[in-house]
Amino acid sequence: MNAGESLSRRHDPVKRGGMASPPLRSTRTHDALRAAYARDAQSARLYAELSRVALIEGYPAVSRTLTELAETQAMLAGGHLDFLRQVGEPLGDRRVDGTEELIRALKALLSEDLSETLPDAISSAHAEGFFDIASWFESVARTRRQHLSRLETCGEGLTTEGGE
Amino acid sequence: MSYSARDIEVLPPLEAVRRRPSMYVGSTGPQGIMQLFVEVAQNAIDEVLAGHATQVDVVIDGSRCTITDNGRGIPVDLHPQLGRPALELVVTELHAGGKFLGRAYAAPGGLHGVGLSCVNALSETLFVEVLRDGHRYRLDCARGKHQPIHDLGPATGTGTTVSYQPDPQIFVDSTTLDTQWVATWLEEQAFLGAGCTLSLQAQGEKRQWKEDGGLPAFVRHLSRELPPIHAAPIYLQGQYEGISVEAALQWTTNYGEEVRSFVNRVRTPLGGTHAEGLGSALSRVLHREASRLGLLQSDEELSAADLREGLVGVLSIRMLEPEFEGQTKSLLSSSTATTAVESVIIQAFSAFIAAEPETARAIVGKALEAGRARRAARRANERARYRSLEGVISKEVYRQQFGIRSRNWHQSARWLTDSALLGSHAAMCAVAPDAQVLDVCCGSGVVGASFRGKVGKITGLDLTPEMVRLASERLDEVIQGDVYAIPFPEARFDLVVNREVLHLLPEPQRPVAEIFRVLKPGGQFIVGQMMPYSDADAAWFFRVVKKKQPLFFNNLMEDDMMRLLEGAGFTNITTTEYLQWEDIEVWINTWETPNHLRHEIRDLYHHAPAEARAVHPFRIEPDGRILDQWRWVVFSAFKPVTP
Repeated sequence: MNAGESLSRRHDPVKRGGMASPPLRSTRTHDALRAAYARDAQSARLYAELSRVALIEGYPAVSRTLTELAETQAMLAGGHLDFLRQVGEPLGDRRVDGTEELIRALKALLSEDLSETLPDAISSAHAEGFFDIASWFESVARTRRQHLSRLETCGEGLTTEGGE
Repeated sequence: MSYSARDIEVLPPLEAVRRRPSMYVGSTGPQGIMQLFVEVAQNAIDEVLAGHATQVDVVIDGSRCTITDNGRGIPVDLHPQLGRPALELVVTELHAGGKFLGRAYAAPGGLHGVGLSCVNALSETLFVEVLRDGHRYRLDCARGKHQPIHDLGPATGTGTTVSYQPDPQIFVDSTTLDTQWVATWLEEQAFLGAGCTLSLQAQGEKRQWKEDGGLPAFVRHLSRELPPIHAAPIYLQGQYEGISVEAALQWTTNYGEEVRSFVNRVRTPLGGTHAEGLGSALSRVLHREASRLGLLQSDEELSAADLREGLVGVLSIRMLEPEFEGQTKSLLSSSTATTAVESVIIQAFSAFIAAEPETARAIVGKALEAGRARRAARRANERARYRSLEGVISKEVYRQQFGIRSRNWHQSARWLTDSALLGSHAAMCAVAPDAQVLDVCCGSGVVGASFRGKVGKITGLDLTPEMVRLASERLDEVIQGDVYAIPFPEARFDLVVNREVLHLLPEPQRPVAEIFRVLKPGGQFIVGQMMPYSDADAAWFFRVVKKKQPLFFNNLMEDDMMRLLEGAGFTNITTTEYLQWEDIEVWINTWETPNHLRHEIRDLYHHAPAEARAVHPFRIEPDGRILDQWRWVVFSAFKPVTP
């Protein structure tokens, strides 16, 4: 593979075939892909968790089925992502062309979560009397901070590590 | 860069074991050391089970372990195809042994021929002595390399002795076996019907086991300290398509569940398909019985976890060619085991219940109680969250939970009476010997009592009448009251102490402000909290604790505590850290933790993310027990002398 070829191009099944296609950004198809990605990524996690519950409740066959469904749903989410990546990551459409851009996009996502989404969630939970959920969101914020710090560290290593 | 045949490395088999020991024995830590023992000892037990030995003796001397059986002795004659002595083959070649063909042993344990040669590869020294054919033979090895077999001359009797010393180059941290664990293993083998005498000599002591009572005796032994809810263990057995299934079950008034499962007498601490079969069979039979007896109210459902609460059981199956996940056989994956166990248990348990309906009624009654406690725990979470119009937090849920727990308070977790942890609170004491002390949310009063001798009068305060009675045995005076409105005037105490409470209270700034109010100027507040190690384990730890304790509201860390204390006006804040190993099975064995959440807590440990594992030490023992090194931080803070 050409080292100069961008990640998104490598993973773009349409461009690799050499055929022209209309831009995906802001189309109804783009919205549908994002919705499908959210649904399948969430379902994959939900089914995996429920498969454990089924096992604990004494339904091993149901548990195995749910595990297999979860695996396939995770694969489907990956399939949606194959297309979505032409535009960017699915949460904010930030470009993810190559590792450097991917790290930058993820850092932006985490920062946004830490500065806006989670503080809002924490204060709503407090105001509504859900003190345990507020504390959970605070614990999530700690994880996000840790992840941001790790991404910053591995981002620094990009220039020295090089590509493939 | 060129890549050719010369880049391909072919390692001698035992060298491959030394390069990747964890692939063969699970780890190079304590679990690996235990696995070496199991490999050798299981061979001796298999000789017993095949009807050729009556005695197995284990001697542990430092890191050397010697296991002797009086069986047939490993053959020393030449292998017809390979032209090498059989003894040399089983000790030096992977996948050489008498268990593959199914002729010498039926349904054996061990790792099927990987065993003894693996132990040889991972031992600094190993020797095998064989008594056979009127002679004693000896084979000496060091780090997998062997000497020729010596004929030591004529001798009477038959048997095999294997003596090995784990290699410190491989097992870097320790090469010593946990003798208590070995004792438990031998005891299990005795109860599983080995039918022989087993002995252990270690640390100057000799213990011996010979058990003839089979699985019912095993279950009686495991449940010996728990009040039973039916007279004798229920013994079930049968055969299904060549798989032999045996189980003994005893329901107790305990909250926890302990079911040990075995395949061909090898413990499967993570269970697997056979344990799944047992769980689903019990659920089906008991559900059917509960409906038949009309014990379920119209809106009532019983989960399988409710039905197994308080159950102590042993499941043992024997089958040919069992399949496991991983080399160390901790989880059975053979799907035929589920069908076999389900089929045998449903049939035998249904027959038992038909003959003894009163026992069935008692078991279902216990499950109904578990289901009601589960729903109460869920309501506790909801009700404690609820704030009335006056802004008062519902306190009944705290009274209910701690009232029930007061019955066995000191047995409900190790940390409660850990003397070093109590000592780390008392060590921070910086008040005069005649100081007036208040132990807030005092529980049984052990924290306040740990200051005895350093202070004057110690008063306790607790919401729960049962705890007030318990603490009265230790403290000078105990008052029933509420930490949100401490029933004492301002500036009354020189020292306030409190441990592991603030995480259970919504809006902890309110009780901290109350504590500040009742302290005299210059007074000290000493407060201990268990907390995550860092941001990396905070969310994982939140999930563990929340599943155990529905009243967990604050995942407090040092910076949160600092903000709380400084926010109330405290100054001169210092901390000390204390690490303590908690037995998670003991900790989760409480009324407020429904049985299905106990399972989910174990899952969280088994699937802890690498980031959490990197900072938060915990161990999953080979018998499945989870030990977590909890981190306690004790804070000392002072009320300023002048406002």
